[in-house]
Amino acid sequence: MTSNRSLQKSILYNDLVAILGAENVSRDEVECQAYVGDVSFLGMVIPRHNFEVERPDFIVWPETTEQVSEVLKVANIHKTPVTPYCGGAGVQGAAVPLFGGIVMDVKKMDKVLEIDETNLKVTCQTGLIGQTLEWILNEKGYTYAHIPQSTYCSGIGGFLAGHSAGVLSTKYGKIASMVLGMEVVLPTGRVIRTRAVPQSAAGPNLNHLFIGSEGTLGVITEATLVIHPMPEVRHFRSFLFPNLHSAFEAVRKIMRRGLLPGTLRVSDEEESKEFYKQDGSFMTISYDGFEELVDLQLRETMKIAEAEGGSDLGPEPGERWWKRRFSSVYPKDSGNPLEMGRHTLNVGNVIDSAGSFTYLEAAHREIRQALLRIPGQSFMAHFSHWYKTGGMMYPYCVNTGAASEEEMIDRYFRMHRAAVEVIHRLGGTMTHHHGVGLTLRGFMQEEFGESFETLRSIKHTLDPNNIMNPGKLGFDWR
Amino acid sequence: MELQKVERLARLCETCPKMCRHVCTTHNVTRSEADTPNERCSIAYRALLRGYFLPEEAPYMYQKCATCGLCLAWCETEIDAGEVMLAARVDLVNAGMAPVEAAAIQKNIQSEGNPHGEPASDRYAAIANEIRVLPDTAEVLYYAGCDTLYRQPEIAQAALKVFRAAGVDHTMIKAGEPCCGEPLRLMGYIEDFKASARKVMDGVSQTGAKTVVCTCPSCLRMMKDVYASYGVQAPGGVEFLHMSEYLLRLMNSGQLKFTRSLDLKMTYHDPCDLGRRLEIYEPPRQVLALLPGVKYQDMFFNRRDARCCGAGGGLAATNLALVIEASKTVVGMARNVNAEVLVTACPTCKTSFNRQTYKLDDLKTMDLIELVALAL
Ligand SMILES: Cc1cc2nc3c(=O)[nH]c(=O)nc-3n(C[C@H](O)[C@H](O)[C@H](O)COP(=O)(O)OP(=O)(O)OC[C@H]3O[C@@H](n4cnc5c(N)ncnc54)[C@H](O)[C@@H]3O)c2cc1C
Ligand code: SF4
Repeated sequence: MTSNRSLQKSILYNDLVAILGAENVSRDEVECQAYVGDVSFLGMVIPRHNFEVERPDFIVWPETTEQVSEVLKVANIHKTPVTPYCGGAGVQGAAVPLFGGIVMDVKKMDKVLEIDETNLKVTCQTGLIGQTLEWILNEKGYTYAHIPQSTYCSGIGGFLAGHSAGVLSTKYGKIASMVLGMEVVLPTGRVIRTRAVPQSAAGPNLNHLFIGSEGTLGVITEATLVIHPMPEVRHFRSFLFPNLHSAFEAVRKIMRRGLLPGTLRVSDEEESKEFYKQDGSFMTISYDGFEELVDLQLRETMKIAEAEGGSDLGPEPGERWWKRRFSSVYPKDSGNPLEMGRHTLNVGNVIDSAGSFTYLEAAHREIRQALLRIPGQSFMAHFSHWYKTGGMMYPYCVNTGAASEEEMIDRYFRMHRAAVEVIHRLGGTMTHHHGVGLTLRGFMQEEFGESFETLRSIKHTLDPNNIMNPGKLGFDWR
Repeated sequence: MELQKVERLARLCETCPKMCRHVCTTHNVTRSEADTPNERCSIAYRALLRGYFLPEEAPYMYQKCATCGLCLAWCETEIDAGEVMLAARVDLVNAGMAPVEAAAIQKNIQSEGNPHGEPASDRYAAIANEIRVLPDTAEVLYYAGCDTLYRQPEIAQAALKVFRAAGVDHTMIKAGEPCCGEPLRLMGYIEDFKASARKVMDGVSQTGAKTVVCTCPSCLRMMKDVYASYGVQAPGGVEFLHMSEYLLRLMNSGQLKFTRSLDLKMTYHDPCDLGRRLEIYEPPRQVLALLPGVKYQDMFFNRRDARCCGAGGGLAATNLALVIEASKTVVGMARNVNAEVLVTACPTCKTSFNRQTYKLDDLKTMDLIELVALAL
């Protein structure tokens, strides 16, 4: 006898096929299994350790905004969860379809709609993988300058919904600074657009409601992004500072002076020793653009570095780092940082907080102390993504030696709890670009304080049936 | 399980955040997370841990990998996910779980000597007159292969015309070429593959040739690289060349004279087996540069980064719809450089691109050897 639930599922399947065609709807078990997780620790642990989570019922691949809208309307009728899925390379579990339902893979929405060379902007659908868009632009002599380490595996939808930051963000900004306008399908299926203009004072900027929304407030279907002519040169320089404090002082002065480095990466003493075999604090900086301006900025940088006690290591270490900047994430025989929790009971994550210069120094010291109290914990950090007012700390936190799966997961959350307590006490934010996902959802109330109620009421208004990626961003569980 | 031999590849790949997904031939068509090198390796790895495949996993091993080597080209760990697929296919054959298309290829090669199931007697139908006058032994053996003879016989006709024009002492395996066996290897029938390999090498020996020239990169790769790894050795002192390499010799030594200017804009597609696998990138381009009246521009993705025509890995038999979609990428790139001729050097690629270009007035697909013959 067919149960009610499986009858409902069959009806939903046929509703989806009517919208998308059978070739764009899958209920194949092997295919659905491929969407159970993402690249986060939890996303990897779930499929590997047989934790009981619901496998998605259907994967759908819309190609147009209208199809997205129709699918969301149907999902509301069926009160079925919908989780947007782009590259699935988020590291906080934002794309994990915790309650099953429909996974909406946006990657067939991969059209570049316009490259406007006069006004330096590209309009595209959001399913493009980052590198694919970059190549299309490179072919015409442009770049959109958003190059996160996940540019090969993540896509525009994920970058926008995850508020991502590329390696060149100090100069070009995070994805939010690159977006002029967007098209979004709201949870009820209504389609809205924001104006793709350089700036506007006509009320609040709605782009910012959806950037960082992690699929909870709708599906971003199109975006207009700023592009840049390919830089003529990119020059690197590295320095070794006596300690982290003097490196911070140099960064602070570089930013104050109005210089605009593309990349600026400072390693703490642990990372300097581990990666660069140096005692002190290692810094790599690069400038890109036309030669005279790049050279001028480098000269100023060298003066500042010298005044802070930095010794000049020349261009080579930075050039080498640039060439190998993707290497660390490929699997290794010696163990892959991303295999955490998969073949072992090891736990790892980056707790990418951000704050003022004053915050960063204190946070580095205190988060380190707090974490090292946990058994089996190690800690190593670098700092990148800088602003005139501060920057981001990227501690790679690994925990080994848990005796069971439960203990492994407990340690994972204990590690984050310990860090977030310090981050909030010192006035920072708990994530600069990796987002909230499943990892940090429990801390959202604390992060937002009173204003979380505002965010929650926006969610209730836009998504009355709580179909969009339920349980994420600290919103209601299902 | 055969998969045990590639356990390391599958285990490591399973932990990757899909750093090559953006170049994967099949993923770029279906955009499914299941159709990524990483997920295919994960499926294989789960089967290995379990000790057997589930029936629903078999299609992912057979229908979703073009063994094009693009993952390998992008993988800093140097993992060829295609190798994992080939091992998985051996296990599926051994478990009696190979799809009907695979079994049909095995049967066709057994009974007719080609994967397409065309009559063995038709193998040389398009070059019957030429074959009759070829000697039994010669310095140079031209090995055409099944895809050329049954699907793109103009390639064989052009090759023979060029050999004649250059005055090369050449022949073919007159009794009928055996299939090189690659379709059997791709489908997981390793013993049959080895038997094919031995037959090919016997045929080569009998012609006494010192040079074997192939127009099909896959046949060449089998003879030059792959047979030996399965324990089948080539007769001593024989060199194996792709037609582009041999043409370059003929052109550089002045043995080929051209009378006709082609006056065409061209671009060249690197076939996966010729490019990424055998690393023969420049000879075809050098041949084009020596032809009169060729205006040439590379496509955006070329050489090691060249996209796949879609028909690798036996997909033309197991998933033709996917091949048709995949082939559009290269045709689109050829259009972007305003080429009038999309040149390739592989009969399988030609068949793939022809499905798109036969209906176009301003873009045609041709094999390198056809252009050379045209300029004579
Ligand atoms: C190796 C590696 C390196 C990384 N490096 C960086 C880095 O340098 N900088 C950085 O910022 N991040 C980095 N990340 C994290 C990750 O790439 C980002 O979080 C990225 O934004 C995720 O994009 P994705 O396409 O993989 O999204 P997914 O994981 O598929 O989705 C992320 C979230 O966005 C939602 N979503 C996806 N598409 C849409 C859409 N069209 N509309 C609405 N919601 C949508 C999903 O529901 C989910 O909540 C890295 C990750 C890895 C694995
Ligand atoms: S082949 Fe290499 S790059 Fe591709 S998914 Fe596997 S490990 Fe990653």
